[in-house]
Amino acid sequence: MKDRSRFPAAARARRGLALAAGVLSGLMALSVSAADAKPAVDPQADELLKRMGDYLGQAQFFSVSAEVWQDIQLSSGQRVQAGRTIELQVRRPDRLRAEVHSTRRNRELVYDGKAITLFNRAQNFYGTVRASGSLDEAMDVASERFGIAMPLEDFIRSDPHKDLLQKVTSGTDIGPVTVMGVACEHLAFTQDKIDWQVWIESGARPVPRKFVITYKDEPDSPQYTAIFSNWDFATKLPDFVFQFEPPAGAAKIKVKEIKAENQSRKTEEK
Amino acid sequence: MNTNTRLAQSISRRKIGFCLAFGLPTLLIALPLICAEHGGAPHAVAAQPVVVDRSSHGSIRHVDTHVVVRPQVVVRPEPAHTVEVRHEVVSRHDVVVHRDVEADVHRPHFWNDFVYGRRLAVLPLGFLAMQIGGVPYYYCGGIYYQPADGGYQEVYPPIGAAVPQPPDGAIEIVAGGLTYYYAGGAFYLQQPDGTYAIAPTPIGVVVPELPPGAIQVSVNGTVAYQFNGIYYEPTFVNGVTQYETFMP
Repeated sequence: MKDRSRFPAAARARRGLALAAGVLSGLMALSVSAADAKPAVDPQADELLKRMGDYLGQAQFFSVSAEVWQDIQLSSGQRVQAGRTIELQVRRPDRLRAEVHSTRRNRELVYDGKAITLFNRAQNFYGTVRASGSLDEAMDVASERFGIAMPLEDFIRSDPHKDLLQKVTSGTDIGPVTVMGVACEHLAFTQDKIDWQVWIESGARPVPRKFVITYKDEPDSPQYTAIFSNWDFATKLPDFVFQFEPPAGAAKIKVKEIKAENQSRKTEEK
Repeated sequence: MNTNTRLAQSISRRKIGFCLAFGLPTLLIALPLICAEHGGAPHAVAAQPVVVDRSSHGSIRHVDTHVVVRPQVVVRPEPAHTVEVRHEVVSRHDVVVHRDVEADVHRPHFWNDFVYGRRLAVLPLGFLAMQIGGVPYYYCGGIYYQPADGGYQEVYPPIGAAVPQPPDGAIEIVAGGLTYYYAGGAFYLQQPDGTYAIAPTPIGVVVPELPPGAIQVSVNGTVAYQFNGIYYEPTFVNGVTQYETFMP
């Protein structure tokens, strides 16, 4: 008390310091909370998505079919839907076969742990690129070096829950609904450039039954829709399923590597 | 200690207090923001985005990217007819920009029906007459005709032919800093007068589909296609078969 009365300037400085420290703490807390802000995902939606992700990620092998519908705009401006089917066969850690069929197109993608082979059945062309490691690693090589995205890749990766939520800003559990006669839970998520929805089967087998992406950043917000069926976690997938034998007369063609130059150009354009 | 010394100490403490109070928080507040802008570390280099076809594969992971492969283009020298290459071209919006080669939608256009040398007694309605290097040509919907035996025959698109607008269904292809409109095996470039003239085919450019009437050939044991003297090599681009122009 004596000291404070004797040195009022020092006391004022201490008070100022205390006040500043308080303000600083508050601002720091605000700053940290803004930087670490978690997306506003409904815990129920998060839990359901995690169940689905864990179920798919932990499955050692599975097969599934998907019917895909994609909005296309013709040069006349007319909007139409293009359809195709996708057959996926996955065996962890390093086997994948994807077949894409439509009326006019027919292509396959096979990963056997050593190489990724692309096959255009309609024209009898095939091409091979080296890849190794887990499915995640092979898919990264495919996309980063060759611009190839595996069909419905988000559901093939080892941790779908983590990958799907990476850029999500909000998520909601819309509620129960039926997809092709199967009881599902309807989840809806938002991101910067897209909205996406997934319908997850209710019950003991939480697999996706429907998946929709809405591209908000494109004119008229086109949609990509996949309807899943024939989930099979019981039938074993032997090695031969993932071996590619070129059919008679098949011609081997190049697989173009995406150059960093093109990537940066694309970035500038965007 | 005299009064001046105490005052000096007091001012010094206040200075330190102010510096700590405002300097430190500013730094601490700014740091996470700087880090966030740079992807986590102040000196981290922004990662290159992956170029893949965003709308065809149904992937959340690749949603920020989409495919357009535009390799460097070498334009053949000395075109048969002068075509002005203009760099500042306003892009048209009524053409297919990001051609989706994956989606199964057949888009029939008049020029899809081109057959080299096919004879016609009369020209289609709405044809356009033109002279290129003193030679008469007629044009309709992306197909070119020349007089033959009292009628007309379909011919390859002549370099230098200028039309009011690209044929319906032309695909925009940006290559070598130029915006081409590709249709019926011809590459159109917008001219200063607003018309679109056929330019020499750029070599090394990838097109999503072959010109109608391209013939399969073998070049050094490799399958290729030939149209109007230009060769097209089938190649997997972004996992889908497309065609790269080349000259053997």
